[in-house]
Amino acid sequence: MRSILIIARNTVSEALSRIILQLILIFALMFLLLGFFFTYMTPGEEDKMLKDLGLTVITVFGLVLAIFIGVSLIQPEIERRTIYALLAKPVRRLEFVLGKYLGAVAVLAISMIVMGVVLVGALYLKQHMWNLGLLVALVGVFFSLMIMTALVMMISTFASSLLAIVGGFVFWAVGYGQSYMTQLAEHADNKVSSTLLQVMSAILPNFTYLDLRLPVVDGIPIPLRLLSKMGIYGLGYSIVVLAIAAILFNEREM
Amino acid sequence: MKPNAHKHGRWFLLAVVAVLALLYPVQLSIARDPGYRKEYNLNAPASTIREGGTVAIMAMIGGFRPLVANLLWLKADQYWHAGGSGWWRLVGVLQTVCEMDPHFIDAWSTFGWHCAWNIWADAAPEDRPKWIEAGIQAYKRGIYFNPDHYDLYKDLAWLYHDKLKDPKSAIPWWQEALKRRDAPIYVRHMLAHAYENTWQVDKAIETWKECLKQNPQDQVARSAVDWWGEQTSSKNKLNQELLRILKRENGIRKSRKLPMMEQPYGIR
Amino acid sequence: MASVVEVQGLTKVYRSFFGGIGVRALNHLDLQVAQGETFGLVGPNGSGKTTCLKLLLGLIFPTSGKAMLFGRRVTDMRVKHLLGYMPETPYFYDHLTGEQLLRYFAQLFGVRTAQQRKRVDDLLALVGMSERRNMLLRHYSRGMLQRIGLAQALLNDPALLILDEPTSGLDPVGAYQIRNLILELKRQGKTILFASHLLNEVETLCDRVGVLYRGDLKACGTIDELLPQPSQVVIVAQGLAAPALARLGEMGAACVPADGMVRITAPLEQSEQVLALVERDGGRLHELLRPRPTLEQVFIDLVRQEAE
Repeated sequence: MRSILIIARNTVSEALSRIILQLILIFALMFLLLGFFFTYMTPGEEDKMLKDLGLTVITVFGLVLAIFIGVSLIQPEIERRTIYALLAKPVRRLEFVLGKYLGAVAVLAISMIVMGVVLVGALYLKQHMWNLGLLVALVGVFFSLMIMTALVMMISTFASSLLAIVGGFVFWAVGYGQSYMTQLAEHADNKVSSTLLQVMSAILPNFTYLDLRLPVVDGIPIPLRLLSKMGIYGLGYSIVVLAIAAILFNEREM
Repeated sequence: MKPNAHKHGRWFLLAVVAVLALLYPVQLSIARDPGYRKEYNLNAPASTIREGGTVAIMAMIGGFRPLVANLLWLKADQYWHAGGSGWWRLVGVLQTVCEMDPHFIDAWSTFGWHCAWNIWADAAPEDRPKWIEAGIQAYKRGIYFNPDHYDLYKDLAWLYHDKLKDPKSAIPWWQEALKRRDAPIYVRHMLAHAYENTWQVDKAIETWKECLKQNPQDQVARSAVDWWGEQTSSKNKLNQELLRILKRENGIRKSRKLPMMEQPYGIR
Repeated sequence: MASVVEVQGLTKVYRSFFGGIGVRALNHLDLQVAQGETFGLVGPNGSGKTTCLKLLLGLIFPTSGKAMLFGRRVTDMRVKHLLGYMPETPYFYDHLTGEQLLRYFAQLFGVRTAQQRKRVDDLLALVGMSERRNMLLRHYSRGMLQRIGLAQALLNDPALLILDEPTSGLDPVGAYQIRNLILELKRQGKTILFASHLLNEVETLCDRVGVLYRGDLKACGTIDELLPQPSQVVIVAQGLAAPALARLGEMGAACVPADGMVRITAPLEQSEQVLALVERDGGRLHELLRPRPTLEQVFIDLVRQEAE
């Protein structure tokens, strides 16, 4: 149990030291602030655009971060063989997987907080108003990131890093494209393809149910009950994927 | 021996699928939760395909929906300034923005106005009623998604009042607008004018007095109250009789109905 | 005394993804290492040394057969506490310093924070890395990585050390130091199992040796058991005339002229006779050798045998 935290801490320090992740974060902040240098039409629209842009940038870069962090958890350790010395220590393989994941999630949380603070701060400088409500959308995004990292990590337990990255982007499209799939299902000709699509939409991750960006910008209040349901979905899904990853990793030969 | 070798195989897969399927009710409960606004994420406006093409579809699938909505809004501005054929394309763009971001009231407002006024002017005479109807539908749909803002009620009322010259149909919409928060004073003025135009003089006076109550400095209201007071005073018996007749007749006259043509979209 | 390492019929076949005939990396290996013993596993690359070690560490899983450490399954956590492993050409976490790495692993062993510092200090001193403790592992040379590799294997003061090519890539001084360290650990009574293809090193350090070739254990035993006793003597003498050489030939000794001297190879039993003859005939003894076949020689002979 303790090993999980130790490994998590090491994962955090490793992730934060990786240049590619730092670059992604820097680009995210750049894009975030980019919008503030353009003028749009009326002031009301400008505010809305900045908030939309800001939240979308955070979401997109968050997902990119989640994919690249997820890929960096297991495969590099195997390729560089650092895992040999590690597994020779009294650490269970399950503890390794969980520790790595926990570290990744911590890094994602830190990134979210940093980006969120920058966005709210920049908006304050422009509008002289604290838009703390925007941060609620980031909670939903965070759950999506948890799922994404778990998925990418799971793929990387049995496939190469490249495949895991590709898989991450595929799941990204699937996660947001689910609504279109369900619409197709409703218009499907026969029962079989309709049920099939329904089954797929149940099994595959669905990020649209965790997406609160537009409502938050429009000032619609988000009840806590809804956030908890999102949390259950996000956590539940991540746990399932983690379990698969752990079992796959247990069988993996180094 | 491999650890956990017995967990291999299809039983394991089945268990995973079962657990994932258990999360499906959670998904459904999120979708059905009144706090979760389905209109934001779960509909794919057909107009997106027309307007945005494959790029827009890909962007939507990538979770860039807010960005696409905003970019289309900017594109709308472009078309507006381009004039000419741009005005027609503007319709589709505006419709898409409205569908993608249904709580963006400005979009509905602009959309309805654009259909009923601008395109109406460019359209062939036989098509014009369709565009009026499009405008009305736009406002009504916008109201459906945003029932708490005065804006779209006011816009719809104005459409009846100014475009269709049908103040009677406008009245209920002015009233609805007034029920919402932050309705500006001119809405009440318009309601009073609508009563005047339909010869419901007493209601008109009442409304003007209401205006004065809200803002004692209201010059328009004051002069209106004064004028009507004079018109309806016992000195002007002829006027009073005339007014009664006009009111009765106005009640009989039916409000204009538009032919119900193919609508751009229906209210769900 | 029960064996520390017990391997019975251990077989590992690497199959391709589609099944079919696989590569037999280890074939029914039987091995025991007793406590306090230093055992060397030798063989060319691809002979199965690393496979065997990985199987003992639970990094890969056997196709059949079993491997036990301290009488327990290799995946048992209690075993891991008694074990120290130094991987071949270790890479470690780039972003950590030498000291940070040791502390990280010490934490995983459950060493108390108070003791961590001392333990890490001692180990750094032991492997001679005290001055470089704050340098990032990214910048370590090969030799420095090997030393840290050994240090991290000793963090828990293990009863069993498993070393994979401990001196590979080291300069002579470094290799010498590592060898001395291993000897010291041996003196402390630790059981050491190491894999190497440097046969002279194995000769020096090990009590027993196992020779692996293409997954089979070709020979196993003490150095003395494996190396044939030298049966011959080589005497290099100067100033011997032809008659003396002829007489030597009759005795059964082979004479080979070399650089103005004669190189006489004779069976061990006749060494005294040959020496007497040389002296009597006025020859001067230059060199007296008792060549012992090296492990290398044994090994190459073995490989050549297999190839036939």
